Amino acid sequence: MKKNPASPEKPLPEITDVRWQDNSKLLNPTPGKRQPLQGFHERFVDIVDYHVRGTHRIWEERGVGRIYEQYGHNAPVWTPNGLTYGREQVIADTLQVQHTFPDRKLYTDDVIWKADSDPEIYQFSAAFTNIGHHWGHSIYGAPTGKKLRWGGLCDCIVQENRIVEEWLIRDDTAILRQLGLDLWEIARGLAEQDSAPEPSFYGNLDRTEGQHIPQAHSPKAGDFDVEDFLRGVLHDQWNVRLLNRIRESYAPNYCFRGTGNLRLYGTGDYAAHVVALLAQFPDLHYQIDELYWNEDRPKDRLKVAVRWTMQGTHEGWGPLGKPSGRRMELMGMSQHYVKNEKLAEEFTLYSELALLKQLMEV
Amino acid sequence: MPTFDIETFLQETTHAIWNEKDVGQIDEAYTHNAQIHMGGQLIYSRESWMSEVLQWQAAFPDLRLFLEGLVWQAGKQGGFRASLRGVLVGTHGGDGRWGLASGRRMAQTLIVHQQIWQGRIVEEYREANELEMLQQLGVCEFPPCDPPLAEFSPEAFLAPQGEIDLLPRRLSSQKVAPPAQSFEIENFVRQALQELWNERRVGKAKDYVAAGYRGHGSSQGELYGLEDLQKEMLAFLAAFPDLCYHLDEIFWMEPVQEEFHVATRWTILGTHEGNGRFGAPTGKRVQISGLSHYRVCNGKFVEGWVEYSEGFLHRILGLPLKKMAQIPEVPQKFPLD
Repeated sequence: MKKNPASPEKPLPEITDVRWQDNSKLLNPTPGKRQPLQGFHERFVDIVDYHVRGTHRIWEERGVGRIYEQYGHNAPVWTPNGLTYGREQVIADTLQVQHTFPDRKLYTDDVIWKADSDPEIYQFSAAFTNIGHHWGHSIYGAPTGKKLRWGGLCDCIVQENRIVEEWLIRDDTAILRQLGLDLWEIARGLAEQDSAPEPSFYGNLDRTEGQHIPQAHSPKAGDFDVEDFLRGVLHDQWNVRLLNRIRESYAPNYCFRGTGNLRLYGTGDYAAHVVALLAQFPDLHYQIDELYWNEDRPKDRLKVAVRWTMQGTHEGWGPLGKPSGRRMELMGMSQHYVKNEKLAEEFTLYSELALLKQLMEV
Repeated sequence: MPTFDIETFLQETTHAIWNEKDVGQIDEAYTHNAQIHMGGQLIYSRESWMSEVLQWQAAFPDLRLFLEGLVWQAGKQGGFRASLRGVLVGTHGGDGRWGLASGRRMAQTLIVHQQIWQGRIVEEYREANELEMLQQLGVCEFPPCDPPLAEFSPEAFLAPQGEIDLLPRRLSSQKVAPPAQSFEIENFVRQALQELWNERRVGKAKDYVAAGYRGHGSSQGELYGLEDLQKEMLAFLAAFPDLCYHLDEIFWMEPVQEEFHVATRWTILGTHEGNGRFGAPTGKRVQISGLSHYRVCNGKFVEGWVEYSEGFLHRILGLPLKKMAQIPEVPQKFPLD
């Protein structure tokens, strides 16, 4: 444990873990840096604290202008609905959400992080829950006054106090369902307004090499390696269509939380969710873009952040209706929890609205 | 720094919030993002929880929670898991969710599980006898769910119903091997629930349950003896033929003279395909969440208290709130009280 420069005989507290912590502690951390945090503002003690208090200062405290200190001038924020480029856009987007949900509170459910030392770059994946009243206007229409709950996930790269790149998914599907709006109608409207050009041709998804069969993952020998384990399960399940891995590697009372405030319980319903995607997009290719993990000490398990992309062609029947033959690409993020070498829980977000938009012919 | 005493914390917190109307105590007792799972629904954040408790306090101005049983265990990583069993009693003296003030008295049995970490409740599961309470109040229709049910069972595109995974249970991959020599409480409970429920070996109940078993809780009333318990189990298995019972959590107190007090949290998944207690089959998939307390003496279940999301189940199946003949009216308070 590191020595506390303020009080050498007392060891420094460990890196903040938001699990089961009350705001009275999260918003008043014990002073003293727990990570180098070169170039960061003096107030932050570690990267998790940077997210928790940095977000609170911008959102709940309405210090929207603090985005000037916390984002790079040209930081791209990738969202399922498109790219928000640069901090001026981030500020505009923040103000828009604060107008639509003036009393929105952001509750951080979990933060998974990693740190590189040379150069010093931090990255974190934060899962959060938002609760707010629909008291303002938005792209989805006039205020309804309803109290809404929706989730969110973000993956941020941070250097010298600034987010230099971010991937952000807000669960707009949950908002729309609670408002009772028709997702197909909204998707059609968005597709018609969209000025971004569609590609005029597509390539092969390269899930397999030509007519060679996809190879199942060969697990590494030796002690349990959570990264190798998770990459293996996800690849086998999604890309090799080995859904028997679900019974093998998931707890029978698996808890899946997903888009639209969805909660699935048990491997049966989870498998049905996977099958639905594979049936409708028979050439589906799942690729992991980023993966890192920490210990979830209070719950005696491991937590893994994954940012991923799914691509596929809509050629099968399912809840999305008649196959449109169109190509889709889903940007997604997950936080997986592994206990006793099995997957126990998951929080995954992608945008159903973005998916429907791509299936529209306009 | 005074040491944290779990029993004092639980008793004082419960008493303050429910009996003394010190609802603001929730700010001290819960984390800001505490999650309360109640009857199949989720209440997220202590602010939302405070709103819910205020509704109860307003509708029942003389509300009191009588604690009757407590099971707790220290966690391996720190913190505590605790399960409180009790009765919530009050006179319907305020307009609100349960209609205009009727002046009738209600006594609702309930069980509450709490995960406590660094002196605060971080997660809670509550199951209560809602059906009996509504009968006592003379309510004819289910009050609206708040938040509305739609939030929790959305028609998501990518969540078609799957099969209920019984295969691994039938292959006994979840079975905990019984130890040959010594009695181990967790193994015993898991083994019993696996065999009786998932393997449908209801006849083997005599291996696990005392002949004089006493059961309490839910709107079905008291169970007297092993056969009553078997009747209960068969009613569920008949109504939901693909039923799968998952034991989500189990903890217990140190035994006193070979008597264990055990608390469990469980989930039943099933498809409503059998005629019986829950009416004509609707084909609907149900997820029942429940909390139980058991007394296990000399290697057998001797008493149990079970509360589950019965009201939520009735709403999902579209069952009306019918008058149950055997629910006695709660005696009104004497003027001298």
